[in-house]
Amino acid sequence: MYYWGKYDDSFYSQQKNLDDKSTKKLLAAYKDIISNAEKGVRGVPPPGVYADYGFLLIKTGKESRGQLMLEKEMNLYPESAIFIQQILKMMEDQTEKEAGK
Amino acid sequence: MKLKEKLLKICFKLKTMKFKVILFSSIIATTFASCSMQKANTRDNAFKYFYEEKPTAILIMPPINNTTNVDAKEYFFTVLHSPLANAGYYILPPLITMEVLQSEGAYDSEIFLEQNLSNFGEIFQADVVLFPIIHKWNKIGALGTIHIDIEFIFKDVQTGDVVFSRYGEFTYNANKSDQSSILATLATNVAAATLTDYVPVARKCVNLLITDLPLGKYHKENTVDGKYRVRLGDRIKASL
Repeated sequence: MYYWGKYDDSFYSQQKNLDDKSTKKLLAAYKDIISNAEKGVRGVPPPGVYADYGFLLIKTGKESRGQLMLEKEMNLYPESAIFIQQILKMMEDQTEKEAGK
Repeated sequence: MKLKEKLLKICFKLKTMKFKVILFSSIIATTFASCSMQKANTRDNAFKYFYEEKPTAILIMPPINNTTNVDAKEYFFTVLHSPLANAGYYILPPLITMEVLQSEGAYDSEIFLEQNLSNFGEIFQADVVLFPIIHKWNKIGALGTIHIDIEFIFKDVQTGDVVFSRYGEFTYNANKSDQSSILATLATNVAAATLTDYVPVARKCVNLLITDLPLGKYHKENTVDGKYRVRLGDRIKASL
């Protein structure tokens, strides 16, 4: 139904190792899934991929690109909107808190 | 003549008995057949909730690991997302949900198994929560046979009712294709002990456990799968 590329293995590796190398590998896996989404029957990235990709981008310092990905998740999967908005708010608050220190 | 008559009578009795046995067997067979006909069930009968409430979003909780294999939790957690999304559901993003659960001190799923789940509905906007429970991960001997027991419990967030569940007992033989030499197998196992990747094994377990799960709104067969026959029971055994 969806193109998953190397998602399972990359996600396992990231969860197991929690290091930069495995995080980069997972970011590359997300990018690949998004670029090749048309290979799947639905022709769009699977649920959660834009969101988790965006979340990781923000965590690695790429805020604006990360936010764009989270917005894409909300547009593609409207049932995610309330949850994603809460996450965006939470991250904004965290950034403000850190800037205020 | 008398002897012949006696023999004929005995033959007749035997034939009658045989007929009775055949008749009795047929009745039993028919009874079983009709029982299994009655048992033959469709998804919309067996899992009414999915066709009446039409849940859209599923939150996958970190697996409850009742085994001593510390990696089993990751093996299963990382392979749950894709099969459930492929079944047509919106699956809450696993990385973000994990982070939120950890920050809220809710990483240990067992705490919530018998609790009210309505907060999960509010925070995550989930309709259904999946609790995966790993009951057994036993490696038997040096030949690489693993017994895995895992259970999936899907609960509605509003009512807390179990809407789909299945318990699987799986046996995985790591050396199924290479039984030519026990010594060779043992040597292979020693070498592979640190390299064995059980992610594909976990994936196979998951696919069997969610067989018959009604399809979600993003699956093109979502409106017709209610008439599909339920293929597996709520307790299954399989060799992988």
